[in-house]
Amino acid sequence: MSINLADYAELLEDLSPHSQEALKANWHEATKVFSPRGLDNYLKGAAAIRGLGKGDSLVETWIEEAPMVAKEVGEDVVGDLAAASLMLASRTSGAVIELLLATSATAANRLGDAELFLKYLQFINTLISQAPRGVRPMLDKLEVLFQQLTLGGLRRWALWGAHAHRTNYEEQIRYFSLDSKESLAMLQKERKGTLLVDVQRRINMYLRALWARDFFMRPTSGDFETREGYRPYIEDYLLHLPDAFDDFAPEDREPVSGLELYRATAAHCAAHVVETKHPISAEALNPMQMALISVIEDARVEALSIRRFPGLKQIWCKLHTATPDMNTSVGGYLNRLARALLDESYQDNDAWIIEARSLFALAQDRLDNNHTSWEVGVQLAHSLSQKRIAFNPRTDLLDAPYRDDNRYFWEFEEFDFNKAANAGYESVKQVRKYVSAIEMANEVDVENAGEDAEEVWVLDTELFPYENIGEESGGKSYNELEGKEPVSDPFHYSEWDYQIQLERPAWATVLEKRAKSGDLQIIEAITAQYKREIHRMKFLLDAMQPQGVQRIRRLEDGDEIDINAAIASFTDIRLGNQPDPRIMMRSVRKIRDFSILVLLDLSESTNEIVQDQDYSVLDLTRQACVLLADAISKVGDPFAIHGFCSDGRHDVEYIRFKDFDQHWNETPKAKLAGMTGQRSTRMGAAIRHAGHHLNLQRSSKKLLIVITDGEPADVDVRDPQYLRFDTKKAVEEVAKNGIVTYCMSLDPRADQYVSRIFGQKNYMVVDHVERLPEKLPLLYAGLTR
Amino acid sequence: MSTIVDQYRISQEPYYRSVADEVALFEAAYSVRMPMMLKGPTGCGKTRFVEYMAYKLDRPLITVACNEDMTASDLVGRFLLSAQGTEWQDGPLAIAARHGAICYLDEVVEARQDTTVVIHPLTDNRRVLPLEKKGELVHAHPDFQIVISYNPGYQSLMKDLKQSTKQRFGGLDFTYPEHDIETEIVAHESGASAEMADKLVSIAERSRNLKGHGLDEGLSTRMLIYAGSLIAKGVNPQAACRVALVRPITDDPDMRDALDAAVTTFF
Ligand SMILES: Nc1ncnc2c1ncn2[C@@H]1O[C@H](COP(=O)(O)OP(=O)(O)O)[C@@H](O)[C@H]1O
Ligand SMILES: [Mg+2]
Repeated sequence: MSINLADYAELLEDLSPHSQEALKANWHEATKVFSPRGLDNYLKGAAAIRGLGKGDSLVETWIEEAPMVAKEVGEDVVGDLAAASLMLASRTSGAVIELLLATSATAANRLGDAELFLKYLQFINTLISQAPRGVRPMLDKLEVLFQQLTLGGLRRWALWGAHAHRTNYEEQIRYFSLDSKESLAMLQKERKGTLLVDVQRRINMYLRALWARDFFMRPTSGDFETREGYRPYIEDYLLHLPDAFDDFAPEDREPVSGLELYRATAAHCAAHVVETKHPISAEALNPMQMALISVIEDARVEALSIRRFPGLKQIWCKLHTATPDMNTSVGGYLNRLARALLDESYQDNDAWIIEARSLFALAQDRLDNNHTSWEVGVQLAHSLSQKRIAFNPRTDLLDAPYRDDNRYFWEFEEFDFNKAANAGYESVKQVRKYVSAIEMANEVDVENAGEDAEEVWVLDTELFPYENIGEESGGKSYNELEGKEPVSDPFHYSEWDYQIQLERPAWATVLEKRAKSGDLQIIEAITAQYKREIHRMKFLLDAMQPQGVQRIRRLEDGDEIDINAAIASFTDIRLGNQPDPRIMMRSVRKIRDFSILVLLDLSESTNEIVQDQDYSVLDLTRQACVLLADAISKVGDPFAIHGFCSDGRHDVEYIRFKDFDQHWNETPKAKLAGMTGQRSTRMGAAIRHAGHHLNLQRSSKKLLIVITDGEPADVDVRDPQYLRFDTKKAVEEVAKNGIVTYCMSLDPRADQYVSRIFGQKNYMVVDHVERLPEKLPLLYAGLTR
Repeated sequence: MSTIVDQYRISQEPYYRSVADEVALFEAAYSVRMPMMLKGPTGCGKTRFVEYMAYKLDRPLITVACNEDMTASDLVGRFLLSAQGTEWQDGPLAIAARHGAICYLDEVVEARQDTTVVIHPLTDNRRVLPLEKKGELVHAHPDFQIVISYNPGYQSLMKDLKQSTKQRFGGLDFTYPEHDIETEIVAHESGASAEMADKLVSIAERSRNLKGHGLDEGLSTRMLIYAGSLIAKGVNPQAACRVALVRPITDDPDMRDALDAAVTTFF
C-alpha cells in the first residue's frame, strides 16, 4: 500500500478522465485523513461506485465527500458508506445516492460518532423501502433536521411520516420536505433532548467536585423506536450513560431537564462505584430476592451519598413517580419501595412498605456494609411473596430513569477495588532494564512482543559477533553492523482524551534518537543562496541586541534625580514660578532573556515536492532553520532545534539537531544536513517533550516555534479530532510553565484548525511555502522584540 | 516612642483561630528575629495571622502589598521635591527597620526580582538597609522583623522567588483549615449560623477537588466569609453562593454549571 496515486493505476483505469482529475485534486487532502489502508478502501470505493454506471458526478461526489466523512468520524466507516451506496443502487436513483453521499459529511459531523453514523446508514436503507419518495426531500433538509433531532428522533419522525403516507406519494413528499403541518408537529414532538456529548464535561466536573476523583463515562444509544434500552449501566467500572436524555416530564409534576437527569444518573452510578466495595454474591438467590436486594442496595448507596451531599436527595426524589395505587404487580411494589426508602415525604400505608421502611431505618448504622442489603432484601422478598403476585423479571423493573441496571455489583467475578478507583487509567509503562550478556542469554525472548512490550531488556555493554571477532565484521559490534540507532530512555507523557475529557496517563512514549550527520556542503550552499536576505536582516538583528540601561525621564516619582530637570525646577522656584515636579527618572535595564526552541515536524509528508518546484518541504524547512539559526546566534539568545515524527503512541521519535548549550557550528549544521522525513505527526507528545527541554532553561521568557505542514495525525488514531484536542491541551500545558507556543503552518488550508489549536494570535500560515526561509527569522524577530 | 510608627500599632486583638502550632512557632522565630515566609493559597488567613502576631508581640505592623510596578525605591524611600529643596522620605521598609516594626510584604512574588533583592541585607546577620541614594546605612532596630507571604500555587516560572531569596527565610505552611476549624472561622467572621458555615465549607471542599482540573484555585476562606455575610444579611443561600463563590472564581460556563450543581447538593 502506498500513498502515491500513481501506484494505483490499475484501480484508476476505470475512472473517466474527468473523475481522475477530481481524484488528483482531492488526493492531497485524502492522504492526510486516510491511513494507507484507508486510502485503499477509498479508491476501491471509487472504482465500485464507478462500476454502478450511474455517471461521473456520482463518482466525483464520492471522491470529494468520503475524506470529509473520515475526517469527522474516522476512516473505518468509509467502507460501509461505499457498501450502503452500492446496496441502494438497485432500489433508488443515482441522484438520491448522490445526495446521500453529498450530505454524508453533514450527517457525520452532527452525529460525531462512527457507530451512530453506521446506524444512520441503516436507517436510510430502511427508509428507502418504506418511503421511497421521501428520502430525497429529507436529505435536502438534513442539516435543519439534525439541528433539531437526534438520530433516534429523526428515525421516529421519518418512520411516522412513512407510515402515515405509505401510499400517497404527494403527501409523502410534502411531509419529508417539512411542508405539512403534521410534519412540523411531529418534528416539534421529537425535538432532541439533551445530548451527553454536550454536557459530559460539566457532568465530569460535577462528579469530580463531589467525590474528588475521576469517573469515566461512555455514551450508549438505545433502541430508536421504543426508546428502550436507555437504561444506564456500569461495566468495567465505566459509567455508560444514554447518548441523549429527554426532559423528564411526567404528568402533574415539575419537569426535570435532561441535564439534571444526567446529573442524577451520573451521581447514582458514581455512588455505586464509590460505596460498593465488595460484590454481592448471587449464589442461591432467586430472581425476586435479587430484585429486592437490588432495590435495597440502591437505597443504601444513595443514603450514604445523601449523608455527604444532602441536596442529592431532592434531585433523585423528583425522578420517582410510583404511587400507592400500583398494587397489581411486583414491579409496582418495587417502585413504591424504591421511592419510600428515598423520600420520607412519600405517603404509603401498605403494611409491606411500612415493614420495609422500618427495617431500613433499623439498618442505618450498618449501611457501610452491603451485606445489609442482602439481609434486608432477602427478608423483604419473603414477606412480599406473601402477597402472592407472580414475579416477572422482564417486566417488573424499576422505572426511575436515573437508576442503572445494577449489573455492576452482581456480575463481576473478581471485584478489584483498586481497579474501581482507577478505571480508565490503564496504561503500561515500558520498563527498560539494563542487564549483562549472561542474563540476556539466559532469558527467553517473547517473539511476538512489539514496540509496546512491557519490559525491554537492554544490554549494558556492546555485543560482538562471537566467532569472527576481527574478521568479517571488522571488529564491529552488532549495533554498528545492523543495529538501530541508539535511543534514549523512554519519556512517558499523558494525552488528553477529549471524548471523556480526561487525561490518559503515560499514554505516549517519546524516544530520543541520535541525529545522523549529513553533508555540510548542503548548509554552506544554503548560506550562499540566501546571502542577500541574510544581509538585509543584519540591521534588524543588530537593533535587537541587548541595549543595556535605558532611562525614563520626567517622572514625579522615580528612582533618581534627573539633574537637568531639577535645575530647571529650582530656577522656577527662585523665579517664583510654578516648578515642574517631574524631576526624577528611572533606569530600566533592557536585557534579553529568551530561550527559543524550534520544533520541526519531520513526518512523511514533508518529503512532498513543493508545487512547480524541484525541492521538498523538508528542504525548505532546512533552509529556514539555517537562516533562523544564523539570525538567533547573531542576537545571542540561547536556542535549540529539535524535530519529531511518530509511529503510533509507543514510538514518538524525537531528534535533537542542536541543543541550547551547543554552538551553532559544524556539528549541529551537519546534523541538520542529515535530517530526513518519515512517518506521522503526533504533535502533542512532541510539544510536551519540547516543553520538558525548555523547562530546563533558566530564561524568563521561553518561546516554542512549531513548524509543520499539516495537522496532528498518527497511525493508531482513527478519530481525527483526538490529536487536535490533545495538541491544544499540550500547548496549554506548556503555557502553564511560561512557554509561549507559536505555530508556523505550511498547510494553506490550516487556518481553521491551527487557530483552534494554538490560539487566535499564535499562528501564521505561510501561504507561499517558498518564502518560509525568509519568513521564519522575521517571525522570530517580531516575537522577541 | 516615635509617633511615626504608632499609627501602625494594632490596638484591638484581631480574631485569629489558630490551626496548629503556628503561633508558638512564630513566637519562637520572632524571639531570634528570624525572617519568616508564610506560604499558602490566597485568602487562607496569612494576613490575619501576621496581624494577630503583631498584636500579640506588641509590635507595629507595616504591610506592603507587592505588585509588578513596584521598584526598590518604593520600599526603601526616595528624595522628593519640597520648598526647601529636596527631602528624603523613608519607604515602608526603611520606616520599619528604623523604628522596629514588623514589615509584611504581602504576595512578594508579584514584585519583580530586582526589587526583592533590596531586602537581602536585612535578612542576614548584618540586619542593615543601605539607603544608597541618601548615603546612609540604616541599622535595623532590635525589634524589627521581616515577614513575606507567597502563594506557591502559581505555576508560572516568571513568578517564583529566587532560591537566594527563599533560603533567607523560615517557612510556615498555610493551607485551608480543617473542616471544623474553617467552619468556626466562617461562622465567626460572617455572622452566618454554624450550620450554614458548615455547608459553605463543604462547598469549598468540592471546589478544591477541582483545582488543576479546570480551576486554578479552589474557593478561599475569604470568599466563604463573603458568601456567609450575604446569607447572614438575608440573601438566599444559593444566590449568595452564586454571587460570592461561583461567579468570581470561573468564567468557564461548564465549570460554572458544575459548581452551581455542587452548591445545590448542599441546599
Ligand atoms: N485562622 C483564621 N482565623 C481567623 N480568621 C481567618 C483565619 N483564616 C482565614 N480567616 C479569615 O479569612 C480572611 C482572609 O484571610 P487573609 O488573611 O486575608 O488571607 P491571605 O492573607 O492568606 O490571602 C480573613 O479576613 C479572615 O476573616
Ligand atoms: Mg443502581
